[in-house]
Amino acid sequence: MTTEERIISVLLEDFELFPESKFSEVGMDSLDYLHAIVQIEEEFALKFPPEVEATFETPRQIAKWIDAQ
Amino acid sequence: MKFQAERWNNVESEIAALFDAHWKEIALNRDRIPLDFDFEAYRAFDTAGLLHVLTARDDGKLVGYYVSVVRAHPHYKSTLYGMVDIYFILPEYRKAAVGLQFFRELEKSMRALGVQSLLSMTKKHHDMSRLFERLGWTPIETVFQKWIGD
Repeated sequence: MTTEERIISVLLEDFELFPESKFSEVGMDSLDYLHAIVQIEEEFALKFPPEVEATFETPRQIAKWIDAQ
Repeated sequence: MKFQAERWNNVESEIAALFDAHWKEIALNRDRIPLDFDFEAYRAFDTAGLLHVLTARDDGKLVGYYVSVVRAHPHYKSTLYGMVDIYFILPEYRKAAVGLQFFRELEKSMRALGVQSLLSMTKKHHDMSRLFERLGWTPIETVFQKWIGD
């Protein structure tokens, strides 16, 4: 399973997402976004730095950041 | 979305236009305690340099605000505090990372002023604790209210 697929599978329970779905366009509010970030951190056993955690617009962007680490 | 510090006296009418939506969403006891904003007091605070207003704008339209009183705390006068008064973003603009971005910008703006300690609040019935805690804030007390006006 790719990083993108893992991210989407984690979030699919609450949102219908594709790799380039914009979080702002799928009904995700600020607390939902925060919850999503925490879920992804748990899935990948990592912690997003403060300077990047609020910059992601799509699952693909998160996957790219994770894969670059 | 653009976040920036602005002067109360320059944005009062735009902020006031959101008060009704803010009040109806957040305020309890609306039947007993009407919204009755003391604009004169806020103008005086602003003129005295005590107010900090962070606005959120979308294509120039004001869609949110975070208003604080910035001054040395009366108990700790060597420490500059940023004490929350009100904050709000129109529900349709609370998308994705906006909340995190707004509060990060608040902190950045307050740091630029030399503020050392931030105080804010969240409603029990509209709980933003997870956002505060993610951003490194610590819960320090609970506020109680009792209506005794009958």
